[in-house]
Amino acid sequence: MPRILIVDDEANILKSLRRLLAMTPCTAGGKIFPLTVDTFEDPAEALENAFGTPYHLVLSDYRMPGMDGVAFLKEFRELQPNAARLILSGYADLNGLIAAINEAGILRFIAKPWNDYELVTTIAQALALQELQNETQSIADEARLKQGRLSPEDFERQRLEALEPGITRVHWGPDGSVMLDPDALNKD
Amino acid sequence: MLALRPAKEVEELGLALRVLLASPIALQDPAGTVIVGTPGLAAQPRVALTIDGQVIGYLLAPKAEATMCAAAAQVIAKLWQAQAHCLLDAAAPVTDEQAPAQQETRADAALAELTARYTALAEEFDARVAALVKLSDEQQRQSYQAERLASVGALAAGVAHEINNPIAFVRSNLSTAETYLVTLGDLASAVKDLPGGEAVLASADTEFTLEDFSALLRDSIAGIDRVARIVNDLKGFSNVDKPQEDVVDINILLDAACKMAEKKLLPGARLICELGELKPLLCLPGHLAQAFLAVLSNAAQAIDGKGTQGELRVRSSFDGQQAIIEVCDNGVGIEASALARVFDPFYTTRAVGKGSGLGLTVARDIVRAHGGDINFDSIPGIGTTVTLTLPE
Repeated sequence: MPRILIVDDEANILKSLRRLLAMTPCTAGGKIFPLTVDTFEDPAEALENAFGTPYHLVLSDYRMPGMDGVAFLKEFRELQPNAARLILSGYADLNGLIAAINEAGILRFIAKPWNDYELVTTIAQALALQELQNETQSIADEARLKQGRLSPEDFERQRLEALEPGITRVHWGPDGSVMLDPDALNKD
Repeated sequence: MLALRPAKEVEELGLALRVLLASPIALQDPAGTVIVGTPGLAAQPRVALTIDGQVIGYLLAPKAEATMCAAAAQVIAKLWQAQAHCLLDAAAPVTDEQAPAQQETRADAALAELTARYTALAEEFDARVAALVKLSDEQQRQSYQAERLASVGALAAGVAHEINNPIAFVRSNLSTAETYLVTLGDLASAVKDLPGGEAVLASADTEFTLEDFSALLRDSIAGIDRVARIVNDLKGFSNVDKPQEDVVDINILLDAACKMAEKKLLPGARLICELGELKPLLCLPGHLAQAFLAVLSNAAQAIDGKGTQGELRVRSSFDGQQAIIEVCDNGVGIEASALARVFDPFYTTRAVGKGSGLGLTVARDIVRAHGGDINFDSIPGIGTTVTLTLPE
């Protein structure tokens, strides 16, 4: 089941999007995508959550306090490069748009207020495209593995990373010990 | 021209000089011809006779000392100069009776000529100063408007963002509510089929509620769509982050301005757009849109008093050389005395705070900056026609 992440500083937007996506079937090319939707008001929290939860698609507002949509999607891309990235915003100047495309590599820019049908269709199409790309990627990786151009370790690393984003990013100590993220320790 | 000339005085001068210098002498004219004295003397050395740096002749005295020669030359030159003055003074009244009058006339003419020249210069100077002042005035007005436009643009951007968020979720929620309503309707018809269900539904007036709920949602959606459109127009219109030139279809700008002006019309008044085909024009789209809006809102205000009879007609056409845009209204018209002042900066007939008196001034500046022109034709009580021309 495709899992999507939505980030917007306005709770009402998140609620209405939840309603919309729960109600409207997300279909593209005759295929229905039953969605699991996670929503966050704070981009930093969303990023933290993305460390461990793989997403197929992320939809973000552009203007948010603290971190704008482009900065958020850039960091998200580092974590989960295969997820489709979309921006949903009421306003963006030309520079914002350029940054969104060039830096965050977004697939679509959707204007607020959105058209319900358009929004759902866009999400479905993005998911279909992303699914196709992942499939192509895994077939290519398997072929590379057979040809010996990809080591079994790398293949396994990619598989794990797809399941648990960030799992392979281990900080090794000089003596071979595993360094835990001090931030993660402090939080508990 | 002053020069030594053969004369009786020169003859006597020659004799005196021979005695004084104790040498054979000769006086030559500037061309070197001997006028008086011993002919055939060696041509050098000779001393030039000069008056005010001008050579009037030469003195030859081969046996005299150089210093004596030089002194003698000076004496001759001075004598000659003095004589020339005498001759001039004496000759003038004798030779021509009307000379003084003529001289006076000549002086007058010279004076007049000078005066004319200075007047022309002063006028040119004045004109240049006036042109510079006008230019800086225009620039000041444009920058005033540009600043105002920029702040309106920033405001519009902020408003657009702030308002679009609530519009977005309200719009989406209303759509969701419509779907929920369908579910509720299905539920109601299911209840109706149950024993005693009809009575339950009737007691709560369910049929009316469901019907009216659906109408209410439709109206609300239409309303929110209208708000969304206004915000969108505002955003598009105040597109000030694009001050650069662009090739655009003037009709698109006119259409946007018409939509804005339409909102200022009283209910019942009509705005009729008859846009002909125009060639795309290289222009400052934001500025032109501003000029169109200024003219249109002026026209819209003119027909305010006409109520439902008010009519605004916007036409555009291309005559092969320039785009012609006409804005006609059947409003109050403009008195002849006011017509002359419509473009005056800060001239306004509106109440304080209602109009800056700059709209048409800047409109004209903008149109003229595009090489075009703007003209008002008006008959009081009948209406006004504004014609804008924009060359290709």
